Amino acid sequence: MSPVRGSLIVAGFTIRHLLGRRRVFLLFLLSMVPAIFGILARTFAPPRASTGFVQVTPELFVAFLVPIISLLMSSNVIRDAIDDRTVVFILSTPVGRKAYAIGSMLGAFAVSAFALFVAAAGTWAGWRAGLAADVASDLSLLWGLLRVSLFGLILYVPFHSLLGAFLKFPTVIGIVAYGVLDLLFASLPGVLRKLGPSAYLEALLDPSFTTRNSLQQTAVDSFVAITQSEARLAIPLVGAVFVLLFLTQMSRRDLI
Amino acid sequence: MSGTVTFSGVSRWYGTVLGLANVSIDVPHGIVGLLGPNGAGKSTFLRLLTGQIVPSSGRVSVYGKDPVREASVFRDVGYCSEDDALHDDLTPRETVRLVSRLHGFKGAEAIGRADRALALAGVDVYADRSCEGLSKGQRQRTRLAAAMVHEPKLLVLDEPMTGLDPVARRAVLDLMRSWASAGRSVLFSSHILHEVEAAASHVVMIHKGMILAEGSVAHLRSCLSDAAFTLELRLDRPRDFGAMILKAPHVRSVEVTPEGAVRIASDSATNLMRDAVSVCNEMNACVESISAPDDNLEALFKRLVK
Repeated sequence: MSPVRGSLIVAGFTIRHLLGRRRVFLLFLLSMVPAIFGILARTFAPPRASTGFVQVTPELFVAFLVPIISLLMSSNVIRDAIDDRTVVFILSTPVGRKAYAIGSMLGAFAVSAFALFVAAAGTWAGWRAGLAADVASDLSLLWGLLRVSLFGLILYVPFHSLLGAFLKFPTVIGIVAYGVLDLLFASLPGVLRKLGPSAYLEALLDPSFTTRNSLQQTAVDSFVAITQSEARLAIPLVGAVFVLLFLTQMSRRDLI
Repeated sequence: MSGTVTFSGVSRWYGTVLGLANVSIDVPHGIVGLLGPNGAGKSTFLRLLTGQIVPSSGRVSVYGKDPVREASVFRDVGYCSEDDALHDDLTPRETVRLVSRLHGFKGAEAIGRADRALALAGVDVYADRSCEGLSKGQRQRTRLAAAMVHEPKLLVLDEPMTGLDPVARRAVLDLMRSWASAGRSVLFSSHILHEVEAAASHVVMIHKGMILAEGSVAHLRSCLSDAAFTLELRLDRPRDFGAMILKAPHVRSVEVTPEGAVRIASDSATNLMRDAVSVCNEMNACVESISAPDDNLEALFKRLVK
């Protein structure tokens, strides 16, 4: 059994397990919040230019949906397996701890990415409904948004998996971390925003999107900007550190 | 015999609680029973053996490999935990097929092995029902099938008979015996003495995280020979027999029960057995039955714990 094959089997099983949970419907409903906003906007507001998509959507994705969906999908995969002892089932096979950890992360990543894709497509379709403006330009923005969302998962999924493996209540801790890092730090104009993951994701978005970043940049003198190159370097680097920590700890510690 | 599992000075602490204390042991081939009361350290022993937890000190080796770092050891080891842990969204067949694939088997071979293991564990009848609706015994058998799917050299079973009805217990006992008869090993834990006595060829007695005694059942029985011992005989002249055997210096007491049996307590099992036979011959007594309530592992266990 190669570690790659082991990881892929675990990933497949994790995807099936996640999609089989009742709570996954709530998560998909949650991910459809921007789409519902889009539909409401098209239904009750007079037709406007397609820039509404640009103004409303990115903040909902980058600062809310990406961290929350990742948290709810990733943090409990290993935690639940440890708590109900089903982890023993898989780790009593030649699939090593690291391959199991990577497989679980891949599974959570795939389901989170799928949820975000459905959310983005729903949002875009909702917003576009009945709009006669140029479709192609919006579509490129949509793909840009999806790309940045997937980039965000590179950071959040290992972080939340790490929380799930070693903390008793990873969702609660994750929500606190989200509140402090993404809602508070990433919204500040000063240097503390460099600790907010979603501030880096905003920096990667197409400049035509309206974000906390773009609004503060013009309005606040003390604004500390995060450049695209900084973000491109920092996100994979920090994500890799989380993966490394996760794998190192998984291979050393008690599992139950 | 060469050891399948070796613990070298292994200790395991849970905070300030000692789970296993400086245990060094070579577990031999065959059916090995790990015997001890609840909380003795049996599950800690098996969790260390299967790499679920890491020793605080010392080294665990299974077929020469570290079970925490070398997952390949599970090609030779199948483990059935005491926890009632199954993925409730899968059926037993799906569960065992998943485990079969995780062992590296592909396609038809993975399916064939899973089906054979399900049949061997007697799960095939309800293999396509959701695990969520299965009884405790059925779930236990499903986990047993998963542990056997790759036909490991060593089957590790943590309290395999707990919660099972007598028929299911018998089935598990038979399964262990047939597994061992095929030249493979079984290491199982139990707090029920007669289960261990009935199945195991080698016993490890554990208490408060320490190994009290280990060896073959015959060896452990022989440890009782110089121990305090009680013998109960049913014979035609119990009072005469009692009066004669009481003369022996090692005899502590003699009692004739209302049922007419004579019960002798002695300081030495060997001497009592020898003298009881000699008195019976001398009296030309007609002996109906002889029983030794203390001649079992429970007596030894109680003695060791004292």
